[in-house]
Amino acid sequence: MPETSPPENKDEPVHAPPSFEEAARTTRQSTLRDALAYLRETRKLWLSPVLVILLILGLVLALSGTVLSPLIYTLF
Amino acid sequence: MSTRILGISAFYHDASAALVIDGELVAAAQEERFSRLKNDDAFPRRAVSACLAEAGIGIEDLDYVAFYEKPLLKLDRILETHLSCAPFTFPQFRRGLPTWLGRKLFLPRALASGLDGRYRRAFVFTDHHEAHAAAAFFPSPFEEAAILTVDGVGEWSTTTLGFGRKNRIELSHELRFPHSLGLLYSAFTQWAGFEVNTGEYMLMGLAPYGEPRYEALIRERMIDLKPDGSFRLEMHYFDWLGGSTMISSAFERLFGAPARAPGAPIEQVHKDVAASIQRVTEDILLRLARTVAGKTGAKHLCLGGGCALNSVAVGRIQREGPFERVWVQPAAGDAGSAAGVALFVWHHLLDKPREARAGDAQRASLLGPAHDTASIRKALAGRGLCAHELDEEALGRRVAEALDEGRVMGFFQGRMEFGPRALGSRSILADPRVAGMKDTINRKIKFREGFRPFAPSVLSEDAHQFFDVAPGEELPYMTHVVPVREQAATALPAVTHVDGSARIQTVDEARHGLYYRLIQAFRARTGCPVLLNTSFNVRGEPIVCSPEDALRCFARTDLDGLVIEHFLLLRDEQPPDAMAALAASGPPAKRASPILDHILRPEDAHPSRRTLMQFGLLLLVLAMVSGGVAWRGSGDRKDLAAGALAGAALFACAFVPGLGRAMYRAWMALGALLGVVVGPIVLGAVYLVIFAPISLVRSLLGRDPLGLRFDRNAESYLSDKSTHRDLRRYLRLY
Repeated sequence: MPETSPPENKDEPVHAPPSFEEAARTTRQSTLRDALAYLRETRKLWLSPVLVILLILGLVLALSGTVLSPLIYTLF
Repeated sequence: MSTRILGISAFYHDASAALVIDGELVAAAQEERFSRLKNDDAFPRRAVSACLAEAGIGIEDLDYVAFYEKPLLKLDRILETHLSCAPFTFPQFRRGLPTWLGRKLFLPRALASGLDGRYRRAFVFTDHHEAHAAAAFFPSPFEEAAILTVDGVGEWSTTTLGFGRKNRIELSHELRFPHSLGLLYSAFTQWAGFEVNTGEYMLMGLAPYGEPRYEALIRERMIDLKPDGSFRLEMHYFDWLGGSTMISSAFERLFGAPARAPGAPIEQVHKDVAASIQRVTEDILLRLARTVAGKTGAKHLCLGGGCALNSVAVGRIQREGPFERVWVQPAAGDAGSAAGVALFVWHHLLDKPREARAGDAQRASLLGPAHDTASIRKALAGRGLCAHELDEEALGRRVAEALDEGRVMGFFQGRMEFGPRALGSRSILADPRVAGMKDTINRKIKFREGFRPFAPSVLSEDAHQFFDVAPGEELPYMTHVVPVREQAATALPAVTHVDGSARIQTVDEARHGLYYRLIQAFRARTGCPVLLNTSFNVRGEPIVCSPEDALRCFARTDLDGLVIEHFLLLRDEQPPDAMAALAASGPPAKRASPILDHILRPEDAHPSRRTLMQFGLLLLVLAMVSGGVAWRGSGDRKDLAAGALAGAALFACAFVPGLGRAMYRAWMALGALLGVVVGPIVLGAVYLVIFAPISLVRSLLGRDPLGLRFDRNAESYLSDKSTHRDLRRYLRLY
């Protein structure tokens, strides 16, 4: 016997966007992804190389707070 | 099932937490009260714990955690500033960027870490000024109202205008950085020798002693002010775009005097300049109030942001502005934004209804922790102090009697206040009829500047007889300065400022309970329904939070007595030894630390076992790599073995008590020293290679992305602002 699917409700879109409550439960936040989305939305993509360099700098600064700090600074 | 929302404000200044359960503001507190560090900006762990304890819940029980800013918008403003003003912004670039990249940018991680990883849903991020607006409107007693928020700066906005109705707020206009009334006032605060972020009250208190001789000069040279209250500043006089202070040397030249050093005598020029900038500030706020009234047609106004704490200006807006009533969030600075953002989630994002209450929903701003009799007994136990436990009637009578005799009393009862004002729960009280009382308290107890005024608490039903307020008008938060009636000014010399004004608190039975009944007892004894009320702290320290804090403050000052709930302590009855021991108790005095502790971060000075393990492994790897390199050069396998042995020995040494810690500290000190030299070089190289050329090109192309130039022909500098329609945007960092 073939499986039957429930009738579709024509008033609602098939892929309704999640509500705020649903999104708050399921969204995985990412600073980097949001940063790129922001640059795209504000037409500032030309700033993305600056952002990448700053993120590398941020990584270096983050590592400089660990036991690796004397080695990290010696690299420069 | 209840919905529990935690609001957080942190990482800039005045960190705080607030808890909203099903739309009720259940608890709120500032971190400084627990950490005892004034304006503490750290993640508010202890304030969060206090809020959760009030509701008897844990972090896992939270449905939403909301932060009061959008970090990427703030970073955008910072980068745009450097890309527009380089090479003149390097001091701020070098100082600010490492902090930004290390902590402030990756906020979800920092917040999750602050909550010990026990909150697993997405964080909510609102605009800085939306949080201020929410804090100003949602607890207010109005169904609908105009909203005006003014502060230093959030992301880009420094001022916003909007409208609140039922459970929604809509911000429609903004003034953008660097043109900021809050920063302008702070610049004058710094020039006058007071500390930025805490000294603004002092500048406001100093203003009535001067004449506004420099008002015209400020209007002519520093600011292009439009009729609607929007303005641009001549940034030549200020340094906050990229420097390390608020004012430039041109500022000092303009007023013909250098910035006053803290503690140096206050000259007439300081008083006159204070009077001048206060007049300009009041004019700007009045114009903005009229503008937002015109745009919204509202009868009521809600004020938020740090500038709303300028109670003199608020008083003028109430008296001279177009609104029937003005309500100010009592914690109008960034601390209050924790409450604002939590209420924003409940009403605006979850679309839960809101009913305006006749008083307001701020619950007298008594939102901090309270202490029961058992914990007070514990705090008193074993100290050798003489404390009387009294019933309420006897307590009121004894305290009123002491106040009538001219004694100054500490008064600690009920839940701690949320916001900068002591409202009768953590207060120092005195008789306002005594002419020399102000000097006595300033000199012997508060240790603060003699010119600063004290505020009166007055029974609500009697307020109109002493102050220029309408009968029955409620002003329970010390947010408005009002004129003292002429005949009352001579009767209340200790709370009447030099210009005949006072920042009043009306006290009523429903909000204030025991405090109300105490003033009633004072009135019954003296006929005066007013008390002098100042915050329970000494200069430079946060207001007391716990009974232990109150006892220490009692012992370290010349307070004549102390009330902690129903316990009364009088100085005359206390054994000197017990008081001396109490004064010396608390956090140990800072000792001179070894030189390494000045270089190292606190966590490096005291490494955990896990950190020592990582350090030992690193030494092992380094020694083995060194042995391998030597072996490749010499071909002798003994070199490899020697490297491995040395590595194993170093690894073992890392776990020898004392030795491992000393090795680690020396290693990290080497890293810190290298960082001091290399860090600025690396940052300087990035700045010179990337930021300076872009800024130069922009200048050559005539771009003005920050809007620094005056446009004399423009009618307004306000720009449009909109509230996000897609609510899921509040889960993004921009």
